[in-house]
Amino acid sequence: MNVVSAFPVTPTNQPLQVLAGSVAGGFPSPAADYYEAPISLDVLLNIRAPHVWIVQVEGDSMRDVGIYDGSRLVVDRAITACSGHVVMAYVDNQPLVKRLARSSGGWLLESANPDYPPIAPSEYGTIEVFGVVTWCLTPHAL
Amino acid sequence: MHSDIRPVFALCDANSFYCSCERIFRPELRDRPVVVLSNADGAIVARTNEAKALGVKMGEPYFKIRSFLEQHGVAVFSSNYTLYGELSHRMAMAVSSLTYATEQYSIDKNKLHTVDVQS
Repeated sequence: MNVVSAFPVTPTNQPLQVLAGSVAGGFPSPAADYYEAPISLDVLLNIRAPHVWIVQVEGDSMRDVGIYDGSRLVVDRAITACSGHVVMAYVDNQPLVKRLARSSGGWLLESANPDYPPIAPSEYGTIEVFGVVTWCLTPHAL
Repeated sequence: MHSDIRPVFALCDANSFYCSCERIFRPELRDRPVVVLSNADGAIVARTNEAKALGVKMGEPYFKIRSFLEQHGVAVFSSNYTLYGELSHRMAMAVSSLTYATEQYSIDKNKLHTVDVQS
């Protein structure tokens, strides 16, 4: 799965109301006990942090973990990449998104699609992990 | 116990900032000299250490040294202010998380306020 672009992120001012209660004529709202503070996606996804990026991907090699062509991924550079993480990595200077697996010669790069076999360390020269994928945003209707 | 608290400032300055920005998303540039050009590709406004070592001067007009740069395998970029502004902002955010007050005084320079406590 190839990385197409990284986006600069602008802040949103609009927190989302998870549960809206309304008060009628002074009567305490029965919903008040269940009030949850509005959530900010900026906070939930941590996308205001200087080490977090949003990248758009193309291809279907990671389809089976829910990453699709055109998905936006939240990539966190401050997490130490471990076996099992889905990461964005420069492999022979090309940005890819793959799952890391340990093998004796180095990182094995697994896809999430039976049409894509794993990439063994012997098949590439250099690898540099850019960051760990923490969230995926996929549009369903536009 | 008597202690002196004196203000101390730490100046944090990025190396070859525009060039370093270009290298973040292009790891293959780390092994090559890199320069970045001003508006309309007029002059050199940023050089990596390797480019400096080759004798490339700040502000040098691009047309004058174009073939020299090609001969020496120097990677040349038009300026990408969207990228540099974004990374400048992130760097300033990261640096400001380290202390109680900072001032950003250029695209790649931050002044951190701290104290020296002697007792």
